[in-house]
Amino acid sequence: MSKRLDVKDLINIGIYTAIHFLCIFIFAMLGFIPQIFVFAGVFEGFVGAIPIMIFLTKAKKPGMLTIMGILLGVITVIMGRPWQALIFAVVAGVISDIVWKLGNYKSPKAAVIVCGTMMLWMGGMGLPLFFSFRDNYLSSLEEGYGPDYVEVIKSLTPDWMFFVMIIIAVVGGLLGGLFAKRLLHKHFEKAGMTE
Amino acid sequence: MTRKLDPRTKVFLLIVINVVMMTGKISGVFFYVRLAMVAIPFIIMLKNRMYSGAGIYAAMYTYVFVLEGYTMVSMNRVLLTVILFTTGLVSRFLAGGMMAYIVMKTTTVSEFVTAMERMHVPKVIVIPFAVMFRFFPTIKEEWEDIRNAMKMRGIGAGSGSIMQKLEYVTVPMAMSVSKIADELSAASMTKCLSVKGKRTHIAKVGFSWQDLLFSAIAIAGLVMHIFYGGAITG
Repeated sequence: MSKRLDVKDLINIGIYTAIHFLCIFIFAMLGFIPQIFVFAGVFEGFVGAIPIMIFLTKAKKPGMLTIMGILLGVITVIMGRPWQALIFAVVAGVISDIVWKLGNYKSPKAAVIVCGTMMLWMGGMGLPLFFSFRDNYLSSLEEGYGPDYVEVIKSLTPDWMFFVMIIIAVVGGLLGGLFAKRLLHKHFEKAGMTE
Repeated sequence: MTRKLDPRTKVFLLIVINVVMMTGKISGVFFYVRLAMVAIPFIIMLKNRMYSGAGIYAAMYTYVFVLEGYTMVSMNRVLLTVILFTTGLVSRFLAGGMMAYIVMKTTTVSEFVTAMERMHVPKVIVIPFAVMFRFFPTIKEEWEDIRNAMKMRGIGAGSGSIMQKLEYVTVPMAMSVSKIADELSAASMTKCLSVKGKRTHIAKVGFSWQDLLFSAIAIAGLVMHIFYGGAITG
């Protein structure tokens, strides 16, 4: 099997990135309820892991996950996040790629870990709430959503919460990976969809 | 001179609108900046004869802006939060969402690929991105088909655990998606995407005065946003 990416691989990347992003986007809407704001990452990770798991059955060449990361990063920037979000996504892609390579592109354990590491790109999504972006973003939120909402958000998100949220998303990804692995085993391997 | 907006301009507008609407301030002179941003998708919709969409869009924004203007005056606190929350959501996301819809609706894949190749974006990025663009509407179609099939078999909202429902949706989705992937790559074979060497393009892509006009508005808004709005630029 050649190591070069051919068109089929590129199309697969596009398709599964689209589905992954859509899953995340829908569940990110949960984040507007302040009380579960912090934990929304679990749901996002869980559901988002399923397309990644299926994608991994087709991603057998180096670089595919990196490209996926770049695409996700570009979308986050298009959605109005600061450009630093791109770094998160690319790093997530590269780490996932390395893990997947170490797993010889077939180890189920590596696949579950990749489902987790891929979720690192969510760090970019939450970026406006933290660090130097924080004050401006919150003041703009206050005008938009009213002071009560901002109070709740403010109390929920000190700077260390950024890392907790990423970890939560990664854990969600890992759990989703386990679930997806079972699903894959139950439906796809028997149907001969995976090699 | 081309009649349509260049895809590059459209993507640029999309980014600017999202940045300004999501993280910008609302009051004072920024009301006008936002108004300009809101107007961009509206004008493009009119230009593309999407009249009903433009009408609904305009009505929603009028409603939101009026409410935002009123509720700045003192009001019951709980009510204020509820109203601001809904209007805040609409005013933040609608313009960007509409623009994204316009980009997808009015840009053909070949135009998009042509524009990106002019910018010398490598092929490994362009093709997945183009597929993605094209694929969002397909997902919606598949999703509706799966929902219908589920209804036909009597799997409604009430039956089964959440895990089971997730399974019922994802498995057929995955099956049909991998079939679509095969079909798409077969289709791309016929378009010689896998051939090495320089490709020629039939789609006409280029900048015109319209691009200049819209970009000027967007850049003006962005400059205001960055230098006076305390934008999040890090």
